[in-house]
Amino acid sequence: MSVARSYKAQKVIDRLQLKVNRQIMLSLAACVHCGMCTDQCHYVLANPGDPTYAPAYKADRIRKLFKAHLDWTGKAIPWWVGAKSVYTDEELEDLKDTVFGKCTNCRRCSFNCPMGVDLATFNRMARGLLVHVGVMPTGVLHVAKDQWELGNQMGVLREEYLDILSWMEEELQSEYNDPTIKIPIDKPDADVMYTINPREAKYDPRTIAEAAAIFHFAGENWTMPSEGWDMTNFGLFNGDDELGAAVSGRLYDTAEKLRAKKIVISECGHGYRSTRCEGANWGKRTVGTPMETSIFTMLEYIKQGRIKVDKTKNQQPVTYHDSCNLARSCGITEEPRELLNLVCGDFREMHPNRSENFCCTGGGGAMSMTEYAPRRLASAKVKAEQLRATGAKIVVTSCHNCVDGLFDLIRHYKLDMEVKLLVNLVANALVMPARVAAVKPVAAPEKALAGRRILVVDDEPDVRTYLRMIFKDEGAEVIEAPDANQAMRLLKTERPDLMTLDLIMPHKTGEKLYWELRKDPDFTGLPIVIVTGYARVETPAINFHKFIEEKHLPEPDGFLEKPIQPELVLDTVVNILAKKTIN
Amino acid sequence: MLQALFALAALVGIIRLIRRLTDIYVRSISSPDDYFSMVLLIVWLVVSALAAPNRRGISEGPLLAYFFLTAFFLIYVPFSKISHYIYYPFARWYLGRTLGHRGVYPLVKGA
Repeated sequence: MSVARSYKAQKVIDRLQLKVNRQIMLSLAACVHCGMCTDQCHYVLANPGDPTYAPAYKADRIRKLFKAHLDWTGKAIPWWVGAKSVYTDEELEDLKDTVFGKCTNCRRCSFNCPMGVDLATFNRMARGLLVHVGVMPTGVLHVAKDQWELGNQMGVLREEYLDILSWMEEELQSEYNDPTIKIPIDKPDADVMYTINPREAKYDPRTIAEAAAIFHFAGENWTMPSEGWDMTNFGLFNGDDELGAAVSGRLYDTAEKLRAKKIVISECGHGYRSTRCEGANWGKRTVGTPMETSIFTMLEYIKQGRIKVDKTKNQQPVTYHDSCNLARSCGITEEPRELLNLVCGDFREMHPNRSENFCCTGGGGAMSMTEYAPRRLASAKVKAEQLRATGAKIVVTSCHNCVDGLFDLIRHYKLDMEVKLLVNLVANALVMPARVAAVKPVAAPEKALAGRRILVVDDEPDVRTYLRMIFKDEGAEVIEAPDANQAMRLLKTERPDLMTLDLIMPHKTGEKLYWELRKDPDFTGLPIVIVTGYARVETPAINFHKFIEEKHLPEPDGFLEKPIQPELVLDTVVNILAKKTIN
Repeated sequence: MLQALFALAALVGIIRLIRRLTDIYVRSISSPDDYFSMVLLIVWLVVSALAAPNRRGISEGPLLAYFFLTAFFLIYVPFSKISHYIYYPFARWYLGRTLGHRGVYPLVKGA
C-alpha cells in the first residue's frame, strides 16, 4: 500500500496475519451484522443509546483490519464492506480503548451469536496484537511484568509467600488448638498440589488457611509448592500467548518435579481456565498431571464423608454469581450449586444464571485498568440490579477476580451485601471430627498468658483486633469494649485479670474511667495498662501524671504509647500478671 | 402456495430492512454490502413470488428476471456477507468443539 503507516501500526498488521487462525478467520468472516448480540452485553444494557458498546460494533473495529488485509472483497472494494486498516499510533490507541476498555472478554455475546462468532476470542487476539507493540493500559503492563519477572502477578516475593504460609499455619494451629495442622511445602509425591491466586497471599490469606483446614480435616496428603504456585495467568487477559505459556508452564513443571498426583486450583475463574484449558495449547505441550478446581475437591470430600459440614452454620440468604470463565468457558455451573446447597441453608438463584449470567464487570483484567474504572462502575448497574433483586445478604462466587469486581460495585451502588467464596462457607460449616477434640488437651503448649482473661478497652476496632491477636496468640481469653461504659459493665460481669485502657475515647475518657476504678474498692487490685495514642500530639505522659497527681491516684501498672509494639505489650502484660500472682 | 411463501419471505425481508435502518445499534454496524445484500434478496423474493405461477402468459417477464437474478446472486455470494450461509456451520462447529471439550455444551439452563 502506498499510504504511509507508522512503525507500530505496520507491526500490528504483520502480526495479524500470523495470529488469525482458522477459527478466528471464520468468526471474522461469518458475522452478518444482525445485531443479535447487542443486548447480551452489560455495557450496552447499562449505556443505552451508545452503539459503540455493542459487541458487533466493537468486533468490527477488529473485523475492519481483517477485511482490509485478509479478505478479498475488502482488498478490492474496501468501502463496500467497511474495511479499514490502521495507519497511525492514534488509531492504535482508539483500538486499545475498545478492546481493553469496552469489553471484559466475558463471552456472553459469543453464546448468543446465531453464527457461532466467538467475539471474545478475537478480542483477546487484538489485545495481543497491541500488547506486542506496547500499546496497553499501564496496569496491564505492570501486572504482566510482575508475572514475567517474579512468577506471580502481584509481585509477591518468595520469602513473603513462605512467611504468609507459616503465619497461616500458626493461626490454624491456635484456632483449632491442634499443632498437627500443617501447610506442607514442596512435599514430594503428594496426592494434591494446591495452587493459589496471589491475591490470596497478598490480601486474603484467610482463604489459604481455610483451604488448609479443609485439606487437614479431610486427611489429605497435600502440599503447596514454593515456586510455580501462581495459577492465575495474565496471558489470558493481555492476549500474550508467550506469557500464558511461561506462567502455566512453571506450574506444570513444578507439579512434575514434585511428582504430585493432582493439581488442585483454588477458586479463580481465569486461573482455572488458563491452567486447565489453555496453558497446554499456549505452551504446545502435554500435561501429565490431572487438574481440577477446588470446588470439585471440596464437593468430593463432603460426598465421601471425608469432611462433615453443618449447613445451619451459614444461615444468611446466599446467591451465587457464575464466573464467566468457569461457567461460560469451562462448563462449571452445577457443582458450585450442589456444594452451596450442602453448606448453606438459604440458597437462591439470581437471574439470569449459569452460562447466561452477567459478568462481574471486573473481568478480563479490568480491575487492573484504573483509567476505565468509571466506565466499569457505570456499566455495573446491570449486575447491581441483578444482585439487588435476589434479596440475598451474601453473594458467593468462585473467583477472586469476581470478588474484587463485585465488592467494588456493591460499594458503588450501596448494596447491603457481602462477597464470599465457596471456601469461606465450606470452612465455616466445618464440623470438627472427634479425633481433634481428643488431641486437644495433649496438644496445647505452655503459653505465657494461658488461662488469663484480658479486657481490651479502645474505641478503634483496629487497635482492639491487633491487641486481641497479640494476647490470643499467647493463650489469653480476650474480651473487648469500645467505650468506658461497656468496659465498666464487662468488668463487673467478666472479672478480667487485667485491663488495657485507651485514654481518648468518645463519651467518657480513659482518665475518667481510671479515676472511677481506682476509687472503687472492688477494683483496686485490677492491673491497668494504659495504651494511648495521643503521645505524638501533646505529651500525654505528663498530662496523665498531672491528672493522677491532682486526683491523688496511684500510678498505672503499665503505660504504653502507640504505635503498639507487640513484644513490649506482651512483656509488660506478662510481667504485671506474674508479679500479681506472686503477691 | 409457493407464491405466498415467497411473498411472506419478502415481507420479512422488508421488515428486517426497516429494522436495519431504524435501530441505531444495527445501523451503526451496517455497510453498503449489508444493505445491498438485503435489497438484492428482497427483490429476488418479490420476483420469485411473481414468477411462482410459472405460466408463460402471466409470468414470462418475472421468470426471465428470476433466472438472471439467481445467476447474479450466485456470482455475488463469495464477495458478500451472504457467504455466511457457507461459513456459519463451520464457525459454529469450531465454537462447539472448543466449548464441547470443556463440558460447556450442551448448555444447562437455569431455573
